[in-house]
Amino acid sequence: MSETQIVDRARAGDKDAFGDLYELHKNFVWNVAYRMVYDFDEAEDIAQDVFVTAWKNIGSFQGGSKFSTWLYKITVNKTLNRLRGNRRTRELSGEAVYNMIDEKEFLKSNPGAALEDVETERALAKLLGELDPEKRMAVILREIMGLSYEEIAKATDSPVGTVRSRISRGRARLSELAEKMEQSK
Amino acid sequence: MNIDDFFRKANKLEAPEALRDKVMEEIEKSTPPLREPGWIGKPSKLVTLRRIVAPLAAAAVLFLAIRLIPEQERVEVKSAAKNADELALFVENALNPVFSHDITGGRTGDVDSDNLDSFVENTLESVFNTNPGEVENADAAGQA
Repeated sequence: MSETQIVDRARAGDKDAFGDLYELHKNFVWNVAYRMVYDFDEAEDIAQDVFVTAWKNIGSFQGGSKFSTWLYKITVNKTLNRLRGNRRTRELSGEAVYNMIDEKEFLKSNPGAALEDVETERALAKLLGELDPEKRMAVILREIMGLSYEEIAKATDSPVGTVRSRISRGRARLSELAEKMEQSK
Repeated sequence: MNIDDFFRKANKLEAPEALRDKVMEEIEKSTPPLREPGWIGKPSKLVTLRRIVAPLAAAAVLFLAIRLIPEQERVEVKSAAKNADELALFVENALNPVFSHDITGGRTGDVDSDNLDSFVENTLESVFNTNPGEVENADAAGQA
């Protein structure tokens, strides 16, 4: 069954069909939410909010764009709104974010991961934590989730030029920080 | 390791199992979505006008509110905003509650009049509460 057919069934109130949509998109929503806040509970709240909002409003989804584009937009808005409302999360320094990744919890929720992956994730968290939310979001969507500039522009409701600029400036800052991190080893 | 190595090594994380239960539980509790008829067409002139005027009105209110903050606090705000990004974020956050939000959680560009009222009320209240002397002076000047 195609995604369009699943969306149609969900729009008609079929909860199982929505469950299928959840399975298709859960990892995208989780990766974005978690890497924006690096806090399991907070990321769970955001992801839950995203899917419940999508369910409640799927009747108004017009099908003019892909369902994924619509869901990405909800994910971006919910995450950034949560960050705006949470000064503590927004202002986490890279060091604090680094310490927030619990090794046991990380390995438990990612059975395929090794200890080395935890360290990589901690270092990445430390770097991403130094970017402001908009740049961090753009970099995550592009470099980790592999979205195109156009998809990111739609998801963030920003012009493609702005997206390019955020990613370019974000990457430049991250390169500089990664270099410093390497030198300090 | 350069930044591309970090990105290359970053795992695609698995959503926790418990998340599905939490989401489906909430969905079970809520009513099924209603199909809405498609809405095709341009927004009315009134809507377009509101979209232009509303942000300007909100910005004007914010400007006036900032002017009411004592000079010393304004200087603190300025020095706190170390660069343009931080200043933009500051204004963005200050204005965010004023606007209506669409179903995706994105700002519609429309001002929610209730939100605007409470925003103005709260802003002015916080200004006057922290500077009762100014209010008294203003009252005295007004009576004179």
